[in-house]
Amino acid sequence: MIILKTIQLVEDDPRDVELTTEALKENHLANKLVIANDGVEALEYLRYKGKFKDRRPEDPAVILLDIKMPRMNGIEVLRHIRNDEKLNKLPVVMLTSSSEEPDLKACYELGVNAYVVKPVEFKEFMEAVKLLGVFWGLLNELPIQNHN
Amino acid sequence: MSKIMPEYRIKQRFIIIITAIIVVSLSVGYFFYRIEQNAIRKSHEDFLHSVSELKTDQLVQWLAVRKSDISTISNSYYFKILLSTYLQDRSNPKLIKELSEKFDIDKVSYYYREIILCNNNGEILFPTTKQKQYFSSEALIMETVKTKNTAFSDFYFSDSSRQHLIEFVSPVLENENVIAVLIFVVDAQKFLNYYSKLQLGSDNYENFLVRSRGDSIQYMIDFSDIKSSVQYGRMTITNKNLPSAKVLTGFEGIFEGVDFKGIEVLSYVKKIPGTDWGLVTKIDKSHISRHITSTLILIVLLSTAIIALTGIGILLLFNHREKKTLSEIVSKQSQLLQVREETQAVLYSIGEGVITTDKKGIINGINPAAQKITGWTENECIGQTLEKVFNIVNEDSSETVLPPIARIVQEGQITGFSNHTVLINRHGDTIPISENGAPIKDETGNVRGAVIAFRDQTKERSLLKAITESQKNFRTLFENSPTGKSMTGVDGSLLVNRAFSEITGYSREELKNKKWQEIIHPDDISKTSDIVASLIEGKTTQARLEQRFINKKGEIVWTDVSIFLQRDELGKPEYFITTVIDITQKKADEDALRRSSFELKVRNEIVEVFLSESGDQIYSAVLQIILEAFRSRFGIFGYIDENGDLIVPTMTVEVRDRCNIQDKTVKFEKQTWGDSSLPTAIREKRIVYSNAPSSNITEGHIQINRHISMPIIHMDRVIGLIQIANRETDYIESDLELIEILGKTIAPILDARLIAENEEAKRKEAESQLKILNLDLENRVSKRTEQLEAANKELEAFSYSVSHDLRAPLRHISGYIDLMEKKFAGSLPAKARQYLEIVTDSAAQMGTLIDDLLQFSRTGRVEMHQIKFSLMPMISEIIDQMKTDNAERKIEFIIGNLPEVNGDYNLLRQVLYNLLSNSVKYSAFRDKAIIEINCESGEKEHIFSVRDNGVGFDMAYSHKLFGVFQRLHSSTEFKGTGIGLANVRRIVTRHGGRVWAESELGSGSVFYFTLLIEGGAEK
Repeated sequence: MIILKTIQLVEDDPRDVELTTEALKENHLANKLVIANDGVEALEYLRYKGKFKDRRPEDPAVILLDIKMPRMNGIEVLRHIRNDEKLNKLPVVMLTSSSEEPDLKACYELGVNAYVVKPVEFKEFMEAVKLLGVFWGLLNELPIQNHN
Repeated sequence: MSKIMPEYRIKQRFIIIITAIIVVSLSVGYFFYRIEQNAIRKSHEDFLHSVSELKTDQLVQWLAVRKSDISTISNSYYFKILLSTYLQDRSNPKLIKELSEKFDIDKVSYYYREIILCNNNGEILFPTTKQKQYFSSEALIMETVKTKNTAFSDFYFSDSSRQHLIEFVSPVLENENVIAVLIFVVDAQKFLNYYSKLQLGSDNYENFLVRSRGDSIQYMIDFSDIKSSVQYGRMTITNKNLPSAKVLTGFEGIFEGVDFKGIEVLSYVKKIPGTDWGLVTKIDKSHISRHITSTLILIVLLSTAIIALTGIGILLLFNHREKKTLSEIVSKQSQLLQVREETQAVLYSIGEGVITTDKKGIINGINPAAQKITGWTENECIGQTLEKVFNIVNEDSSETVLPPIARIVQEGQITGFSNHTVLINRHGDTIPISENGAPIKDETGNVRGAVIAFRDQTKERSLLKAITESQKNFRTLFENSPTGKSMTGVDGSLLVNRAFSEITGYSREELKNKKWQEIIHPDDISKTSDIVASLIEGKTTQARLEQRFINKKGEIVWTDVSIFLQRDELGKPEYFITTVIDITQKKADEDALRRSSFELKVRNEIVEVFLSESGDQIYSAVLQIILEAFRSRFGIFGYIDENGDLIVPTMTVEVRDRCNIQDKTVKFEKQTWGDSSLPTAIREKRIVYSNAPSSNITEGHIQINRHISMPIIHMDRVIGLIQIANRETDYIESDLELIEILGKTIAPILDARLIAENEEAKRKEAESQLKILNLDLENRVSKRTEQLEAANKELEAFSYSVSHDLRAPLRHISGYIDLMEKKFAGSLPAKARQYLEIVTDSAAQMGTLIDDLLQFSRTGRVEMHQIKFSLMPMISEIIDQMKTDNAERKIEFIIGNLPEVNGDYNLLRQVLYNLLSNSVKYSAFRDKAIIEINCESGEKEHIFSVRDNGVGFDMAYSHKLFGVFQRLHSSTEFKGTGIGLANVRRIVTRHGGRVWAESELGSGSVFYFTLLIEGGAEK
């Protein structure tokens, strides 16, 4: 039996949340999906803070991070994760609609594991998520190439 | 003659000297002899004394040591016990043995010959075996017993042992009683041998020890012959001359006597303390005297030698002097003879007539010349009176003059005859003569006669006449010469000709009373004096110089003077001959020339300054030149500006300081001008000058003593002013002339300069305006740039958010529709599904549009990274991609020679990609699409072309081709957003190139773009 680990999705737009969830479902990866609506909540979860104080001690297998979010944007969250001793080993994949070079640069400098630009067409999006799932969710291996 | 002394006097002297020397040397010799004698004697005495003392001490010491040893032995405790024991039992063999052993030990230790033990009476107790004899008398033993002290015998010679011995007798005491007597026989030979050898001097000294035996003297030991036995002498102690007797009477010291041999001796005698003996040390007097005698002989010899030598010396000297005197006499005589002969010769040979007379005036000699002149022969003259032969008359009066023989004889001096005399000779001719007479003296100084010497003066007289004649000529020449001549004495006195007096304006009479120093310009005196001095010293023979005379009117007369120094026959300076030429005119001409060349020089300097210097330095440089040329202390140089004010950019430093002027340039405003010379000069356009001190001096300003103010006038306008002041001497006409000329020189140049300066000023003004404008412009440009940059940034931010915010809804649309399709596929009618498909397509299209727009915006915004790279690999890459993407089609790519280019790699790739993909797209209908890519490289740019055989386009709309979203075909014909070419144009433009296209509808199109070879992209 393949035990699926948690996937944390950090996304503010509920519509995008639904779409991503559906995509993951299609690929049978949605069992253990944890949603955070913004960066602050995401970090609280990861750090067992606030309402997550007594959650089950378990690290997600991968964190899917959007960039454009209120309060704290994805790049800042990434920075926090990478600066935190306990968290910096966690694989992070940016899942964003921004294909701007500065964003790319910043994320890679912070040591993001992958940067995925959300395509407009849903079919393509599904492909991308599938790949993600295969790599991260099931095999738990670090991907060698980046999906741009 | 006086040096030769009478003989007897010499002899006297000689004898006296010799005697004196003999006496002296004898006395000295004798003196020395006495001293020497005493010295010798004294030394002998001292030696005897020393020896005596030494010997005495030695002997005494030796005896003392012996006595002490013996005493020790005799009084040794052990021995006394032994002895007393023995005495009580004399037959005890043990005791005998012990005693014997003891004695043996002692004998060995102390070198005793024998030790004899006796009783108080002298009977030998021990050794018992042999019957020993001892020398010491019983009396001695008795004495020992009585005195309880050690005693000793004389030295005696033992026949048996052939040695000198001495016995020491010592009592052995026990409780103050003498229990026995010991006799120690001491071997004294060694000691005596030793004693005799030491320092007993030479063989001549004799020493012996004596003692008395009653009246007789016993010679105990003769140390000089120590091996012989003791002698008894026949000598008695009463013998007064005997040294041995003397010592035994108690005398001690040096004694001259006769020894027992009868020889006279010198001796030192001394008693040996503690004994009855006497020590005599003697030497034969003959030895001493031998010494002395030899010294005496030496001295005598020496004296004799001295005497002899001195004698010889004097003799030689005497001889020598005699010889010398003799030779002197001889030489004197020969000299005399020689002189006489010479005189004779002279007398006979000289041209002068010589007549000698005796005291009375009778002729006793006449030479040939005299004979010739007088006309008499020698024979006729001898014995005659002088007057007869020598007939003298006064030249003028014809009175007979008598030769003053008597006077000559009487006074004994050389005398001249009276003046103006002539001789009437035998024939009655009158002959002018000069004559004088002298006395003839013998060796004693008495006048023997007289000699008259006379000369025929005919020639001389005529010569004199000629000289007088020539002198007269000279006088005429001198007097009438057109050039001034003077015969100036060494003292400075003047003897001048007419021309000279004309030049100097003084009459000859007046000049006779003057010296040259009085008529020369004072400044020339020292120069002339130096020349005079050097002429006198002989450094030069003549000199030439220019000299100023002050004539009678007080005017300066320039002259050219030549001086020649006339010396007499001895070389002594007699007078100067000077020739004087008036050169006043020439000087004046020279002056004028100098002035004009000076003027030229100054003018040149000024012009030079104007040409080479710049700015206000010109004024100060020119002012400096002018001040130097006029030797003036102060000055100003200024120009008139457009307002008519005088601007002074330069003035002498002192003026500036004294007048307390701070500014570099001073402005004298027109309205402030008063009436002083400066404004007057400007207003009246003329030179104003004064040699008087300035009257209106404002307080604090400097005192102007003399000045010239000159306006600089050009084209009848005053454009500047020069003022000079305070020369040491007055300004004169020539100064004014010169300064006016300088002013005229300066005027045009100054004018031109001022005009140029004006221009310069204007130009500078324009320049600075331009600068201001430029700055302003730059300001505005940078502001604009800032604005643009700001706008750019805004745009960036804008497109950034646009892409994101526009995309998200699109994604949602697309996504949810998809979900809808998935989830509700069954319940949706086909039409509904169709409509949904259209919606999805539209969303996708919009997505592409947004991407294209973003891309387009990026190509404008993104920074270009210029590199040099080759196009070929890029092209092949793109072509491969095209081929892959359009695998089903037949497309032929023809690639020309594409060069290296300078530009942004990514952007240029887009360009090529866009163009190629367009070509591919628009030739899709062809069976075989042919796409050609070429490049033509010009001087400055590459022209690239992409040609296809596609559908082409209508050239009428070609201007729209590169617009944004502009399409010349519908999207149903060919897909596309219309942004590709806009991108291409934008990128190429950013690289500094241009794009255009040509086409034929239906055949195909060519798209061109250029790239600068050097890479002229925007910065």
